[in-house]
Amino acid sequence: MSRGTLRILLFTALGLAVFPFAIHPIGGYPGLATQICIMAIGAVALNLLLGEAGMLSYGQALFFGCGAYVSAILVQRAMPQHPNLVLAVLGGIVVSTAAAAIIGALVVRLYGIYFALLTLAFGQMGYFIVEQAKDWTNGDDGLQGIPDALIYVGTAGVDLQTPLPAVDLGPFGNLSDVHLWYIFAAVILLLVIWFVRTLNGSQFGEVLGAIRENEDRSRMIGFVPQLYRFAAFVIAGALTGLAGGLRALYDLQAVVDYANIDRSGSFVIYTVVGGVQTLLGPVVGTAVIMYLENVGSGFLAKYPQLPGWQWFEGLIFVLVIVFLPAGIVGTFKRKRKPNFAKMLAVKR
Amino acid sequence: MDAFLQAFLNGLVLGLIYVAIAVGLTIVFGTLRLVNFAHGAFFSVGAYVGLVVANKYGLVPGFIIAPIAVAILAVILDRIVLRPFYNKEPTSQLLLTFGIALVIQESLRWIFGGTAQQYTLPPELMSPFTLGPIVYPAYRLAFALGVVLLLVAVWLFLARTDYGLIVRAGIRDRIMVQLLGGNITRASTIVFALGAGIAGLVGAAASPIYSVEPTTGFDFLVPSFVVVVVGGLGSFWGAVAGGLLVGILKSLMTLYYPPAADVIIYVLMAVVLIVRPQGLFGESEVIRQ
Amino acid sequence: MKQTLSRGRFVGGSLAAGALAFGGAPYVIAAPMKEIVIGLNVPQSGPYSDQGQDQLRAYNLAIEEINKAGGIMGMQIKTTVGDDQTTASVATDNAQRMIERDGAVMITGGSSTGTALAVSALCQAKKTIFMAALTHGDETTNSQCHKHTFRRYNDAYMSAQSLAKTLISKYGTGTWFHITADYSWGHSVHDNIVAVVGPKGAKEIKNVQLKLGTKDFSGALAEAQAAKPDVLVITEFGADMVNCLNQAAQFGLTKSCKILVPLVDEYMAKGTRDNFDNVVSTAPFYWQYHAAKYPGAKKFVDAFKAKYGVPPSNGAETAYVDIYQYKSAVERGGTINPDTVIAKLEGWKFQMTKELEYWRKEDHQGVNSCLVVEGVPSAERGEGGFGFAKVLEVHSGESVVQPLSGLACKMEPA
Repeated sequence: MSRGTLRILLFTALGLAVFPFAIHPIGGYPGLATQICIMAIGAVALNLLLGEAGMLSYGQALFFGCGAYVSAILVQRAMPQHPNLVLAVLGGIVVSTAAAAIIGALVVRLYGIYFALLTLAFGQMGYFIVEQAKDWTNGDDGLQGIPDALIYVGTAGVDLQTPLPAVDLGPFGNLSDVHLWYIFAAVILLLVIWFVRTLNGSQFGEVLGAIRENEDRSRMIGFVPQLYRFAAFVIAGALTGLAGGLRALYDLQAVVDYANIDRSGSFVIYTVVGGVQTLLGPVVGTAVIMYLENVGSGFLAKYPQLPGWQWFEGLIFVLVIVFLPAGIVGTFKRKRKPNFAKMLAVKR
Repeated sequence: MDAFLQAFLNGLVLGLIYVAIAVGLTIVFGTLRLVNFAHGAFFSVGAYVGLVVANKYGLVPGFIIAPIAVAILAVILDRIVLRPFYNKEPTSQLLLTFGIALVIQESLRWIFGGTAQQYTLPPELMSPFTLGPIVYPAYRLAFALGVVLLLVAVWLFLARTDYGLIVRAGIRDRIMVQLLGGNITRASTIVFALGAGIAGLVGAAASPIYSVEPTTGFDFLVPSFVVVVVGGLGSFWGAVAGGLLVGILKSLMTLYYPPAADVIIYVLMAVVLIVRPQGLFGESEVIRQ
Repeated sequence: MKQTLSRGRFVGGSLAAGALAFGGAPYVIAAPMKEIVIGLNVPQSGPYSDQGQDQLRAYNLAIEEINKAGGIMGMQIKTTVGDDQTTASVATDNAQRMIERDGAVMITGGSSTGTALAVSALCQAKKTIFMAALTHGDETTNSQCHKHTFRRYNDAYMSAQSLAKTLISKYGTGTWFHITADYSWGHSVHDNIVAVVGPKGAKEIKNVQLKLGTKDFSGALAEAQAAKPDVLVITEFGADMVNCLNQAAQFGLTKSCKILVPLVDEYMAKGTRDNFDNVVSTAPFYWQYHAAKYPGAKKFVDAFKAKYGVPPSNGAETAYVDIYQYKSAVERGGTINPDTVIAKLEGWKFQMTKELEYWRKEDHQGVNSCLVVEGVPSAERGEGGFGFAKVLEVHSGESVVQPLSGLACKMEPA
């Protein structure tokens, strides 16, 4: 890999290593850090679509929910005695990828707001199907208390809930607050970032960017835009399914709001607030928003005289869009403001 | 047969609510190219303003003050925040209007509390009205009639007034209207306020049917997007046809096959977008702009 | 290299700025035990927010009283509060935060069987006591029971058994139309009622299942209107029940058929006003009745009214008692260790706000009485609408609780 990529990965790895401890004094906790890593995978996937390919997908929760439920069902029904985490998550990825391929074939012909609305429609369909397929998904109650899946090395199973050895870190908590789950999720996130970075730098990524900038010209050069957009959609669907599977096996549940419209919106929000068209923007955005959501709402619950957390969340969106349209990381990098209009170029 | 008639009537009333919300949404999109996720918040604000005024001064003053208050809110939003975002890409519009919607919704919750509020209507309106074999709430019938009159008024505005002409022309070709000297900015503000006002009025008028909660507007918003897509972005008659279709479809599905009642409208939306993206009444050029 | 360093500083800086916004106070994870943390996970928004707010009032009252009297074994109780939004994933995220970050030794609260089941599973995994508050579905102490979970509130089986006589005598065995909330609780109640009246000949026309949080019941009600049943059963709770019953009145159903609402509380009765006249329901506690009969209840009701100006709902009562029961178990066992607390609660008999009651060992269900109540005409309701009921029957816990033979509860060994 290139030196630039190595630098970014090392920097991110360092950040991830200190993250669960760094948030301790400000009300964070390692469980939250693990969930952030998992959701960040979904945000990075969305950024592949939105930032690279210029496709605003408002239905990623379909793939997230798909990955979550398939993994949960596999663990609960197919292997309750020897719940294999890797196999379950792979199962979730396979089904999400298949779903992305089917839906992708239908949606890539549209652009801009029409593309977004169609993905929203499919997302909603997925949500209501999950709700109604009660024999499989338990409807609104969700699948609760699924067995704790292990990672099998040979015949020995590693339980990711195992904490690290106890070492007191003063105001940053204790090393044992962090479980193997966090390391696992962080490593996967790193791999996903590496993969996406490589993809962006490859010819595939260049073509996607070209399609985003000026589709007619790229077609005249000889590329078939729909194929590239389709590939991007499927890859994003697979990655989001991975995130879903991890989330379900971490939370030990699969609930219907993994597939709802707010979840789809969350990925968009994390990406845009963090900085679309940047590599680490989605990760930063996920961390900031999820931290504020979790810690902030817990804080505000004690003060009923203040408005609820969502009031502040709405305000943050407005402020970010108006003053920081390149997101946190994007503004920080002092690049050109992302040209959204060019990104979502309507077919001419 | 009775069950079918009841369901059909229900679908009609529901559909008319969707139409009223979708009309504002679609015209705003057509002229300003604005995807307005805050449109549902206009509905909610109208509902609360209507409730407060109605509890003090009666139902009719509520119906008058609510749309005016919402229209004023819309003009303020237009001037302060939204105007630079007309004609921009949907991502920022979506996030911006969603943020505004959240702030408005949570402000309502902060002021009025999160629990549902009920209207106290005079008993004649709250009781059932017998129409042959059907017993149906009198208020819902009055409401349906009211919405129809409202839609007629809006159509007259679009079809018979100068501003209406500019709006309709602007939906087709914005640049040309400006070149021809039409004051599209002024018309835009009026259109935005009008759309918001309609949503606010419907919010106030629909509240005796359901209860009033901060999230009610948003709950109606997503199906309204379905209506706008099905009817065609920018088309008044599309909103009417789409709204009635969606409302009746949903209601009949609830009767005959309830598990599919929620999902069917999204299937319809997907089919329309795939087969005929401009919707039933939309212009195919609309997509190109 | 330079850019990399400054990027990191920025991210760190913005996190710190966010922290300052929250006052940055580190949360005490009670290492030297001067205080213990209890997590209050209640709905502060959504259809059950009235019930959640009332629970919070009761928790604060109980904890205030206990702290003033010296706390639990000399340790002051500190609370951490979360809004579960009546959503399973939010409820479990809150519970996880309360346990991991805030060091909560006990989690309580909640107004829905859906969230209760989710939090119950999580607390079992984290080996933390969960005093499930307002949950009425059978599963909490039956098919999905857990060692660390205790539920004092009546379950749907108990309500249906209590209603059995009234169901037949007042409602008859004609045609029944059900509107049911489509999640664990709704299913539990519906199945239990059908199990009672079905064998006696009642015919179910239809069971319309609607999502939790439905606001518009016109579809189901229009169908009911067309079907002209003898009985309309509204298995909905909180704001959903209020909407449904009020809309039912608009369709003329409150006049044309008998209405059954299997579970009610003071806020639901208040919200439906006249429409709740002569409607039969059940409740585990009714402040007016119990305060007149039991000194313990009077003390609680008076204290609640003095502090908040309104009488407590039945969810508030169980919240209040749950805190005191936890305190009692900890003190009797001399430790907050969950295994000891569990052992001390199992089989424990006590009397506080009701008659003598106990925690059943096999399923951790509280065995206490279930009231059959009827709505009093709203003109006659006192206390700002909270005096809504006339108690028709009182069924002892023993007589209506799920028999052990029918129990599907397989509790973990630890």
